[in-house]
Amino acid sequence: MATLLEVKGIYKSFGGHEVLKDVNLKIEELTIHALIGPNGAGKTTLLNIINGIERADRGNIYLLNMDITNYTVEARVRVGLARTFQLLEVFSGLTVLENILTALFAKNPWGIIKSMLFGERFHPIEGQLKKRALEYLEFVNLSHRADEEVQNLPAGEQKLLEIARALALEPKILLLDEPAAGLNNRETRILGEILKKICREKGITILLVEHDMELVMRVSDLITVLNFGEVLAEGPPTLIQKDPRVIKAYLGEDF
Amino acid sequence: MKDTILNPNTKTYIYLLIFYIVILSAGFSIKDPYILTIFVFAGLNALSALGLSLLMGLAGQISLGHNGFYGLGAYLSAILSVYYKVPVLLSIVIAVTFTSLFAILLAIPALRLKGHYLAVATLGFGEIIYLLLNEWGPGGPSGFGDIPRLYLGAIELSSPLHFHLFVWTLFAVAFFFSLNLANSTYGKVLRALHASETALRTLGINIVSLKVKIFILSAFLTALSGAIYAHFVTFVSPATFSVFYSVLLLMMVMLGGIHSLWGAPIGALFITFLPETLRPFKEYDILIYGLILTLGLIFFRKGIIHLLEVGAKRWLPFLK
Amino acid sequence: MELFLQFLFSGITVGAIYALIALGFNIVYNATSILNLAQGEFLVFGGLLMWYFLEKLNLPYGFSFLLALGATGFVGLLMERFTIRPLQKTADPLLLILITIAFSILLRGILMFLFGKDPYGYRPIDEGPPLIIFGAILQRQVLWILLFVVLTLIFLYLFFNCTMIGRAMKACSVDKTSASLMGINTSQMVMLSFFLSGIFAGLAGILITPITFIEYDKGPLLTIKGFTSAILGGLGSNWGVMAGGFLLGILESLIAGYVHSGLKDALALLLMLIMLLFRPAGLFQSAEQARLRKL
Ligand SMILES: Nc1ncnc2c1ncn2[C@@H]1O[C@H](COP(=O)(O)OP(=O)(O)O)[C@@H](O)[C@H]1O
Ligand SMILES: [Mg+2]
Repeated sequence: MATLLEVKGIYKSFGGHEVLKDVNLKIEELTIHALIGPNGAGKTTLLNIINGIERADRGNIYLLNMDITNYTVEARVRVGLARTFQLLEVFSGLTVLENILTALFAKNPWGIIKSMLFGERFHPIEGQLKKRALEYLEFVNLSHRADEEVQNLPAGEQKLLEIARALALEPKILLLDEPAAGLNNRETRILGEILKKICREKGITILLVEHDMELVMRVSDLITVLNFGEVLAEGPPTLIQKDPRVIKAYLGEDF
Repeated sequence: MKDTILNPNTKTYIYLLIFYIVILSAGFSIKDPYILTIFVFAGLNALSALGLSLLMGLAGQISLGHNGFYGLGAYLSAILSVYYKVPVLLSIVIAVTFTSLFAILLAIPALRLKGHYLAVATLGFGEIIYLLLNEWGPGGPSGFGDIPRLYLGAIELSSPLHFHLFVWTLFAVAFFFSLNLANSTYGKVLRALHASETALRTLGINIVSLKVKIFILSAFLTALSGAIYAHFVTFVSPATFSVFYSVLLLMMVMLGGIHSLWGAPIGALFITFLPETLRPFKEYDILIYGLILTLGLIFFRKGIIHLLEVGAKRWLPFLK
Repeated sequence: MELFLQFLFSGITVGAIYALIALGFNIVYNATSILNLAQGEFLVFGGLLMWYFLEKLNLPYGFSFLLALGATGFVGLLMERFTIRPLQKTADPLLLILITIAFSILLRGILMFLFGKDPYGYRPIDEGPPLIIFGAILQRQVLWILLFVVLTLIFLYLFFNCTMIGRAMKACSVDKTSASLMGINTSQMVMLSFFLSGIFAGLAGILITPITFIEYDKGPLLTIKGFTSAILGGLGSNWGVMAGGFLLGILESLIAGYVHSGLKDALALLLMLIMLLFRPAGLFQSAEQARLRKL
C-alpha cells in the first residue's frame, strides 16, 4: 500500500504556547485512519495545518510524495484534500441542495458574466448539477431534506451534509473533525456505515478525528493517539485499546 | 425563506415586468414635472441601491464608500464632457469604466478586511473622494455647471419624462441581470460567502476574487447612476457626494429589505419620496432618518418587501 | 523653530482629543469586538451639553463639567441598552455595525434638533493669558487638556489593575467565555464599557470646545480620526491607541503646516487605509500579539 498523506516534523505554537511538537503521521491509501486524544491535544490544529487554514511553524506535508506545505487552501483542494469542521460550517440561508451545489460549482466554476446573462433557468450546466448534487445527498441519506433550509436541520444531519459537501469535491482524502459529536447512538452507527462506504465504495481515504471510542474502534484501520501535541502511540484498534499509556492519558483527563 | 425573491422563481421576472409597466405608466400619466423629477432621482437611487444590495444583501460585504463611486462617476463624466468636449454617451462610458477599474484598486486589498474593519476602510475611502472633490474638483466646494445633457442617438433627453423612461429602463435591464445572478449557482456561492468564508475557502473557492468581482459590479452600477445624475441635473457639487449619500443608500437597502434584491427599488422609492412627504419637518431630516434607521434595524429588519410579501399572500391568494 | 513648536503644540492638542476618542473605541472594542461608530457624536454631545449647562443655565464650571460628563456616559449606557443589546443576540456583525451608524445619525439629528447648526464655544477653564514658549503661543487650556489626559492614564492604570471591576473587565477582554465561567457578569462589563467610552469622548468634547468651537455635524470626521489613531496605535491596548492619537494629531498638524492644510484630512484617511492594509495590528504590536487579543 502506498502512503497517501505524510505529515513530517510539524511544530506549532500560539504565542509561546506549544500546541504541536514534532508530529509525524503517515496515512496509507484506502484506509480509515483515526486520530484521537484528549481535548486540547492539538487534533483540530493539526487538521487545520494539513488543510492549509493554519500554517505550521516547522515541518512539511506531503500528498502522494508531493510537498504541499506551501500550497494555499485552494490549491490543496485541487490536489485532493477535503474536510469538515468540528464546529459546524454549513451555509445557513441556503437549502441543503444548494449547499452541495456550491461544492460542485467550486469543482468546475463559471463566470459572473455568464451567470448574469443566463441565470439559473437558462444555463445548461445548472440542471445537470442538481442531479449530481442529489446523488451526494442520497449517499448520506439526506435526499428527503434537499429543499429545506440547512439551519432548520438538526445538528446531526448538518454534520452529514458537511460530509456530503466535502464528498462532492471528489477528494483523495477526507479530513473529518469529530463528525459524531452531537449524534445519538443510532445516528452514530449509521455514520459508521457511511464512513466505511466512503472508503470502500468511493475509494476515498479518511483521516478521522473522533472522541466516540466505539465508533473509532469499529471503523478505523489504524489509530494514532495525540497527547499534549505529541504522538503518544500508534497501532491497530485492538492494541491501542490495551495500551497502558493511552489509558493513562485518557483517565488523566478526568482527574 | 423559500418565498423570498432571491430564490429561483419565474414569478420574479413577471413581477419585474409588472413593476416596469407600472412605473412607465406612472411617468406618462404624471404631468407635474417636479414629481417626475423626483421619480428620476428615485430611479437613479434605485440603480445605486441595487449595486449596494448585491454587495451587502447577497455577498454580505458592507460598504460605506459608495458615495465615492457615485461622485467619481458623476465628476469624471461631467469633467470629460465640459472641459474635454467628449460626447456625453462616451464620457459616461469612460467615467464608469474608469471608476470600476478604480474599484479594483480599492477592492483587492480592502476585501481582505472583514466586518467593522471593512466598514471603516470603505468609509475612509468615500470620505477621501469627497475631500478631494472639494479640494481639486472644478469650482471647489461650490462645484460647476453647464454640463451637457444626454443624447441617445439624435434624441436629446431634455424633459424629466425622457429621463424617467431612460433611467427606469436602465434599471429594469440591470435588475433583470441581477436577478439572474442571484438565482444562479454563482449567486448562491455569493450568499455562502455571507454564511461562512472558511467553509467556502475549504471548498477551493478563491474568495478574494469572488469579492472583488461583486465589488466591481456594485461600483459599476453606482458609478453609472452617478454619471447619469450629472447629465440630468447638469450641475455637480461635492455636497451631493458626501458620506451621507452612502448612508441614504444603506437606508434604502435595509428598509426596503436586505434579503431581497427587490428591497433596492422599493427602498429607493420610499426614501426618495420621504422628504417630500415630510416637507414641514425639513429642518429635522437627519433626526427623522436617524430614527427610522435605528428603529428599523431593531424592530423591522425584514423590510418593506416582507410586508408586501405577507400582504400579497394574504390578499392575493392566487399568486401563491 | 518657532513655527515648528507652534505646529507641535497644536498637534498635541488635537492629538490629546484623538487619544481620548481612540480610548473609547478601544474600551468598547475590547469588551464587545464592536467598533462604535458613534464615538464622534459622543464628543460633540459632551461639548454642546457643557455649553448648555454653563452658558444657558449659568451653572458653575465644575458642576457643569461633571454634569456634562455624566450625561455623555449615560448616553453611552442608553445606546448599549437600547440598540446594541437587542441586536447582540442576532450576532450578525453587519447589523451591529449598522446599528452604531444608525445611532450616530440619530444622535446627530437630536443634536441638530436641540442646538441647530451654529457652532458653539465657551470660556476655557483658566482664562489667563496664553504662555509664550520660545516664541510659540501655548494656550492654558492645552495644559489643562494634558492634565486631564494624565489623570485619565492614572485612572486607567488604577482601574484596570487595582479594582475588582476593572480586573474583571480586563479578564473579559482576554477571554470572554472563561471570564463568564469565573462568574463575571459579562453583559454588565459591556454596559460599563459603553459608559466609560461615553465618559472619555465627552471629556474630549468638554475640553476642546473652548479652543475650536463645535457644531452638531463634527462627529463623523472625529470618529474616523479616532479610529485611525486606534489603528495606528494598535487596537487592543489602551496605551497603544492613546499614543496613536498623539501621533496622528502631530502628524496632521505638521502636514497642515508644511504641506497643505486642505489635504491633512485626506492624508490622514489615506494613512488609515494604508495601515489597515499593511499593518492592521498597529505600529507598536506584532500581528501575533494582536491575535492573542482576538483582533
Ligand atoms: N488560534 C489559536 N490561538 C491560540 N491558541 C489556540 C488556537 N487554536 C488552538 N489553540 C490552543 O491549542 C490547543 C489545541 O487545540 P485544538 O487543536 O483545538 O485541540 P483538540 O482539537 O485536540 O481538542 C488548545 O490548548 C487551544 O487552546
Ligand atoms: Mg478539536
